[in-house]
Amino acid sequence: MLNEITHTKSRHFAYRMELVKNSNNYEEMHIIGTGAYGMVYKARDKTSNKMVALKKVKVPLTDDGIPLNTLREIALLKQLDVHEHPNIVRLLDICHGQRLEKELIMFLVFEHLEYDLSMYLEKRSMRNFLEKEIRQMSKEILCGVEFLHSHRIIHRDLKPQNILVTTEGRIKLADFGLAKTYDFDMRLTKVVVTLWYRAPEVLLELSYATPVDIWSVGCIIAELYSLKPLFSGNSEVDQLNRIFRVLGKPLQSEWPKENMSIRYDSFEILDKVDLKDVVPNLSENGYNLIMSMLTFDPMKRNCAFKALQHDYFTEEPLNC
Amino acid sequence: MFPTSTQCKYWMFSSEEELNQLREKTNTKHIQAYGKNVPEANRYDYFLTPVEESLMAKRYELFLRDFCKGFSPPMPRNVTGTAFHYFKRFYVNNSVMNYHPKEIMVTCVYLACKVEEFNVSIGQFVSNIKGDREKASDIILNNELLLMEQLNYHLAIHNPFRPVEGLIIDIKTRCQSLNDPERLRPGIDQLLDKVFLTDAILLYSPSQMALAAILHAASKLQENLDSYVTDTLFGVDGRGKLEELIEAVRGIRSMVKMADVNPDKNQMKLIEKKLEKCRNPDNNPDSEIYKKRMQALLDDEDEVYNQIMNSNTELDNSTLNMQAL
Ligand SMILES: Nc1ncnc2c1ncn2[C@@H]1O[C@H](COP(=O)(O)OP(=O)(O)OP(=O)(O)O)[C@@H](O)[C@H]1O
Ligand SMILES: [Mg+2]
Repeated sequence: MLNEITHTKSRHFAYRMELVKNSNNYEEMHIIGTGAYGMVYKARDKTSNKMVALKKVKVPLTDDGIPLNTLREIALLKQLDVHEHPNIVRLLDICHGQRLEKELIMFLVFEHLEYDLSMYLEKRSMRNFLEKEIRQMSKEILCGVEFLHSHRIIHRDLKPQNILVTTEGRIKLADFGLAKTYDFDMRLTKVVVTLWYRAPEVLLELSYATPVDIWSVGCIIAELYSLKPLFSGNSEVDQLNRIFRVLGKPLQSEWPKENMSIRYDSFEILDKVDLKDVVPNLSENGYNLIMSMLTFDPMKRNCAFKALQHDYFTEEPLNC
Repeated sequence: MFPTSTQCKYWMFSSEEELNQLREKTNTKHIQAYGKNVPEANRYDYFLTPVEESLMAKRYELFLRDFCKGFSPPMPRNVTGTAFHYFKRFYVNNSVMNYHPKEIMVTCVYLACKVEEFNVSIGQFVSNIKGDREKASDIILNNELLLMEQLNYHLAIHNPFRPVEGLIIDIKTRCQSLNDPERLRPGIDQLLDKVFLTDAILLYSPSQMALAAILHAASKLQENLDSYVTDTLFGVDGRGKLEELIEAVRGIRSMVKMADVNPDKNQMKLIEKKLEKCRNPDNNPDSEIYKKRMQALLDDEDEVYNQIMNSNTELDNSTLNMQAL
């Protein structure tokens, strides 16, 4: 029977077609974000009239069609969304745009949120957050991370720009999966990826796992207090330098043995500072929590589940 | 895991009636879109009836099964299972008159290979197909996206094979009355082979199908697992659920019995012929419209392309491809 599939000989036909409905259901309004891998547009869903965020991603096409990784990630994103976790941005739809010989444009349609955390922090640069607001936000960020980790997903790029905030101040994590696994070639724009929230093992190009996200959360919680980035390096070495100024330089024995391009003796820390001086108004518990997330050795770092049980989240806030 | 899956949330239907109603709606919608000028009374002279559509789908389910069975290299059965799910889901909301099942069928298998990480290249894949392989691979790659979209990108499938293994291990440890549970295998496989040819996979959970398979196998060996199910598996707390499960097992087994009825060969030939005439030429790689469009795309002649697309819309709105009437 299978020769029926091909029963008429016809010449080789084009490998691109617009057989299916595309992103016409949405009316693009303006660009709200340009990341390294995607453009994000604010758009209106023509059927429901609701605002959505359209994230445009480029999917490379191979001779075998849509790559396996992409398929698995799409399936995973859809699967995650079934849980409707309160601290994860809702994925409303997926549609595709143009299909070319070697690439396919896809649109991920997310619920639209008013702010991302970096905008939210800027807005607040005049007035500090209340202690209880910070605790609430920290907790929601950790809840989102815990959810991802319990589904074996590493965010890999947690930073204020990838954390969305509703008008009521609720937190939702965004920008995990899909675009993240692609290599440099798949970037849509030339935006430089920030190093500020990167864990040491990432900066040193070692293998990494869920602890990298915990590191980022540690940096972000500190930033909620001080309203400025904890470690704002401009190169891998500079970033590590700033980290070691606060944490102290790791011992030679702790320095990874793997093939290293960055050498142990390239760091000389002369002006060590204490986290308490960089981040004022920190309670003892707050200090301990952040320090438990900022360990050089990823194996010694706190995990999301345990961090959520930290006394910090149950103690009576001191100054609110 | 299953209760929080996309399968459970979006692709479990309440009854066969509901499914049939959805399919009838799909049929009606297609005819309304493409047969505006056909008098109501004559529409089925030209278009397939919902029953004929179902028969066609069933026919290609059998082909799907055989294709997977004969596949080289040998295909793990979860690939086959996943392909069946895709195929059935696709035709809940799409008419076979719009997308021919022979094309969707192979695309389902191809996508299932990827999602289940059974690594075969497109070249290897189409070497299992007779005829023009280049054309077949174009059809598959062109349909891949359509299929994903129609599945709403719900690509992760829960098959009954793992729950079966779980149950067998459980029987080995907790049901001493049955000696050598491995003897159940042939009976289990027999039921699972058939269950994919029925609507059961859109109505019941993988573990319900697994249990149905085990009980079917046991009864074939004239073994009785009733007390294992009621006392061991469910215990005192599970009594409420037991009722539901027994009902499910009964439903699955009766659907599987029906799966044995094969459609009449001559009747099937007639329906195939009817479909060849009424299938949507827009999506038929052998139609003139389709070839012209492809040519236009290849030549990058946007104007020609638009012209064809526009005249197409007109055709859709009048009576498309009605020369048969
Ligand atoms: N759902 C949303 N609602 C409102 N704004 C959003 C939404 N999603 C993204 N944005 C905005 O767009 C920006 C870029 O989005 P996102 O981080 O998803 O894309 P990206 O291009 O992958 O970025 P990255 O450089 O981190 O890879 C965000 O920082 C945020 O300001
Ligand atoms: Mg981002």
